[in-house]
Amino acid sequence: MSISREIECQIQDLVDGHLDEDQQRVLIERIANDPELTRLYVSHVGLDLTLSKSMRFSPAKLADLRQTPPSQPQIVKALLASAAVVALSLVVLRLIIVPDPPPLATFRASPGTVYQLQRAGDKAPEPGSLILNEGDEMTLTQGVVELGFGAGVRGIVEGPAKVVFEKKDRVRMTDGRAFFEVPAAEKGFKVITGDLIVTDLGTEFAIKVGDGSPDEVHVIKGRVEVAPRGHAGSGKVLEAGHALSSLGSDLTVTTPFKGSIFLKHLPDRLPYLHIPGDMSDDGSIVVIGDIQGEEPIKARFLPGKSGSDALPTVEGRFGSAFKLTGQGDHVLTDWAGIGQDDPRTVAFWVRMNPGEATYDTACVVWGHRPQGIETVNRKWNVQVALDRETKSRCIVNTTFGGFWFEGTTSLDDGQWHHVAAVYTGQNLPSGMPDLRLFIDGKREAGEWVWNEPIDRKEGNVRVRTETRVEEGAEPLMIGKPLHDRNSFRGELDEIYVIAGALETEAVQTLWQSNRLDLAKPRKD
Amino acid sequence: MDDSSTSETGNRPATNEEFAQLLAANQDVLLWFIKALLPGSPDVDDILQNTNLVLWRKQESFRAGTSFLKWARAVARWEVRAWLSKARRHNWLVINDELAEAIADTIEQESRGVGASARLDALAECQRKLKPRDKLLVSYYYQMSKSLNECAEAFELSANSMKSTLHRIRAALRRCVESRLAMNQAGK
Repeated sequence: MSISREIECQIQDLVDGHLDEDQQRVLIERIANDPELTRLYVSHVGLDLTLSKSMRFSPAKLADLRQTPPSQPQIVKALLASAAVVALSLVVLRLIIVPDPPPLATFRASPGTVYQLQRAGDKAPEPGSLILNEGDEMTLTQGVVELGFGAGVRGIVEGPAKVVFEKKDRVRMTDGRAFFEVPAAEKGFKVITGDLIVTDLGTEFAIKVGDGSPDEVHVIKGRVEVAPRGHAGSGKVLEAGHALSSLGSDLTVTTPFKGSIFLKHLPDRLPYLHIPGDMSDDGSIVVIGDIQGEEPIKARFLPGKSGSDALPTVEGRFGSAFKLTGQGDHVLTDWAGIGQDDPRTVAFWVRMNPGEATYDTACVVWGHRPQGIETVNRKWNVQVALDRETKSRCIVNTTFGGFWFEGTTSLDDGQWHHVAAVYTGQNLPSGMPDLRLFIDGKREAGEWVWNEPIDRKEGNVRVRTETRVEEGAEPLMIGKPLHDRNSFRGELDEIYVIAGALETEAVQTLWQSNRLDLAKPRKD
Repeated sequence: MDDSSTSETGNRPATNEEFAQLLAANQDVLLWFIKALLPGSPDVDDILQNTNLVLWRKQESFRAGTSFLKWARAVARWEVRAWLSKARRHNWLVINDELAEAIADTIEQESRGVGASARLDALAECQRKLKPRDKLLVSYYYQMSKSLNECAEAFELSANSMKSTLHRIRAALRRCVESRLAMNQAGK
């Protein structure tokens, strides 16, 4: 018996769950009474499962992305969320004759992601479109984007990042980090960075570009060919477990392989780090989060002059909290921090008694502070300390090095207070960094204070947080500034560092519920 | 894929290793069966996990040399009933025992001698024959786990056009995969 197209469509609707109860009953009865229809139904169930299996990005639960397109009017700017998307999409589609360029790839973004998309030829982007075409340019301000292509190629791009689709088999990535997974059948696509041309030979590899360091390639599986730009033919094949960085035409294979620091699946929130103030059973400090991919971040207690063998804890706002005595005792991690002018949020709970505050200390800090020089903008420090002018009020002070934002609310009242410092990566019309301070979920008034000279470019104050060890940067510390004076005295709990600027609602959720709950991805 | 080994195993409990191998080897078929009993349900993976937990707990009652799949399917059927009961959807889907048996037999026939990887390979071959836009559309739907409406918006189609396009593509893939698998079987 030949089966009608209509019944096959109904069976597919049944498999997809698109029939109401009555329709299901009628169809199931037909299936039960016709072995051919039973076989067709079973085939479509099997096909659906096989399609899901072949395409599923992650074996883990897919993130609840809540990515319904924004309802506000579209703004035609182009921010390329992920270089990976560009590269992958170019490889997949090779049409011979097309009246319009075919789509090259699709993408989706994690909650909290902000991106801009510029279409080739300055065409207006279609509302809600998640398709990328040849010639498109995407800039990812913060967050993570996952790219999907027809042949199973996928990529994960972490912002800030900028990617351009140059041709169908070539993408240019000038900033950001990306992971690519390319089936053997699709080998040959290229990713061009400032220094390198990376040609896939059927593999998984990751790329890190921008931030002032040489471009890096890390091969996780399979092989890639890497050549310096402008020196075709002088490339080398890089195997799994190896990494390469470059400076100009010099390819040196001395970079330690760090494949684990790259995200390989779309996270269900912005990359983050969370130190909850708890200790694990073996006495180590608990650190949670994926801000460094799969590579765990370690934290240890350094007692300074406190004489403690172990980090003292007290009952905190949620669970335990650290108690620091101001004698150089602090927590040191091995994570370099968020660098340059990348957006970021630091949040924590603090409790201080009257008289405990000092001037120029640190609660959460990383970066570089050249000795004796106070005007170099290479650090990031969120502290609860005495104000500079009167040294009598205990306020929140967020400094980039040489310029800092002081709040107004006194916090040394023996009560727990929630502090959140949000830097968007942008500048205000005044030229100062767009920094937003929150105390207990409310926006904090304050003012900028700075030392001269202040580093400006075209009127904007430059933020250049240093994270490179070779440039003198220190990793994330809790409770000790980058100099040796005035470490923090008080209690700290639920310390978060988030690779992006949280919106007000997300700050308030963190304050109220100790939960990171982010907005839908936003296209600017 | 099924277990039914012969005689040398006798009537003893399966060893842990044998049991683990049988469980792993039959995951795809069990999932296929559960999904066929609950089409459109988002909980089939959870039901499979529950089935696996029960199977492990009852490991000692399984006898090496008997049909693992038949035993596991019975447990899966119970888990499906338990899910329907918890979801208060007793009458949601009228797949009675007779139809469930017919479905189970059909799955067994379809999967005899054809493993999951052979299906994946056949599907990959068939997908390569799709027009690029069709390939992208079906990838988007499955890779991104999007709803029909979200897909329609992304591809600038009406919801009805999106649905009929997806139906057309999947019908073509089904025919192609069946044809390839039949050719591969004939060639053996």
